[in-house]
Amino acid sequence: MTTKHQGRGAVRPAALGLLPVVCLVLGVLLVVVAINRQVPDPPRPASATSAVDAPAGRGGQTGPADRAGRETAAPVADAGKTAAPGTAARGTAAPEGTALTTGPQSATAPGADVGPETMAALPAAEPVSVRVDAIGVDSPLHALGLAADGTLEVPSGALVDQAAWYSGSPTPGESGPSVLEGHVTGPGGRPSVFFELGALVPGDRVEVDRADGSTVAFEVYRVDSYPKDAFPTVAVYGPTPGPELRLITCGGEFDTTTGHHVDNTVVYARAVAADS
Amino acid sequence: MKFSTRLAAMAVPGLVALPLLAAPAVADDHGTELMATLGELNDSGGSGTAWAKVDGTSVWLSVEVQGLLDGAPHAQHIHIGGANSCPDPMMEGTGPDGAIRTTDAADSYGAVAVSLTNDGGMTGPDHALDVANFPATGTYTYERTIEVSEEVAAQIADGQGVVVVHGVDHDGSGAYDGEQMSDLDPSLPTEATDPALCGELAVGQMDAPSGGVQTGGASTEGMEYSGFAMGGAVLAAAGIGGLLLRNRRAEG
Repeated sequence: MTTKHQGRGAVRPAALGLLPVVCLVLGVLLVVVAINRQVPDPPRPASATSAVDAPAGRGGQTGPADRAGRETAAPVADAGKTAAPGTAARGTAAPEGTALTTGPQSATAPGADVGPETMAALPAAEPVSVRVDAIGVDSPLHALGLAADGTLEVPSGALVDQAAWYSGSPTPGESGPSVLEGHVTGPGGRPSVFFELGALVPGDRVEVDRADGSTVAFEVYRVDSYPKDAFPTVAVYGPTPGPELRLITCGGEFDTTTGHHVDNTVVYARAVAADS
Repeated sequence: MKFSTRLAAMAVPGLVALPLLAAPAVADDHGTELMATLGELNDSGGSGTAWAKVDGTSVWLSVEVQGLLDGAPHAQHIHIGGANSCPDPMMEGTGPDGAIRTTDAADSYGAVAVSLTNDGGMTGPDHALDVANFPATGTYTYERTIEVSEEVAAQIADGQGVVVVHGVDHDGSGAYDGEQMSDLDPSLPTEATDPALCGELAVGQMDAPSGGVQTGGASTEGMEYSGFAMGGAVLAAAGIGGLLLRNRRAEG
């Protein structure tokens, strides 16, 4: 130990001695605040924990964090209850529900089970807005088409935080799967319109207002998550016997090299009579 | 090829019915899209999907298959005829333990119209068992654009096509074997040609987008308040440094 500075230390005012302590406390406080203000990861569908996604799950996210955002402190014990979306709620025949729902082919074939009274198809009318009360979504809708590479265009510019309807798909209420999409996050990582989509569970309601003044109610029967590079085109966009709805957003790990999330969260719903 | 006559014989009942069907108005500008979910026959353990686009006489097809016998060829075709449908998986066939053999279900799906061979392979019904040119793994993605006749294009666009994938390891031996020979080619075990997956190509209700959807803006894992955190960290470090310095002096 050197003794060079001994003299100077002695004349230092007492207040100066407190400075390091103040710095330390303030600094730690700032770090803690900054960390606590982070936007959490979007909820993942419960089924995403099975098969395909399980190995990719990160700490604390592999559990059924689905409803944690809405129902305070959802216990992990809910796993068994929510692990088979689309099958458990209405008792469709799917003995291996969790394993099947991650594949492109599922036992929960659209229209195959008996739920609330399903609705007859309506004539075409473009959708104007969508509401999902369970996750606080109420958004106007605009029409989007396909990009030059055949992929679905996504909301951008002033409409980036609104949900959109794919104009190449049936209008909501027509026979077939009507496709609605929305961003999970916007620039900078802040939550966007479909941030909570993965928290939906079978039985939740989605309502779509149409340009002809009618409102079509849909009931969620399946929520799933797929790697984008293994997107189950036929399951999501394939023909359905009656009016259905698909809500699509992103989820899963964020790949910093591509600048995109690696998964898509897809909510499947079918039209039900409004008062059922 | 010796089996082609058998296939031709199979085709006759299907062809008789066909001229009666008025050709549908095919293909607007975008052509017609069709999709099928492939369900298992003969407890093959497999699953899959098929997605087709008919544009004029070009048929683009993407077939995704999982869970069939690995390391063995899987003949795959678009069948047209019969009831344009898949058989009941529970139907009693003439194969081992009542397994369904290809001809057993001809009333359901008719005869081979298009052979879904790999690039370079011939695609007519005569090449239905061109085993060297079919996918030879248990899980695969097949994609090809095939030229067909106007009649076949119209029938597929009308939803009459049925995709059938063949090759079932009934006895679980890991290879096509067994005493019973194929109803299509007596030089092959029946396991090699028995149907494993079947799906009806139904007319789609939209122009399906390709692949996934890029609905993510940015990661939530980044630091939204990185300025705060950095400033805090620097302040804290300064504080620690100051304390260390003081202690050192005190000790000194």
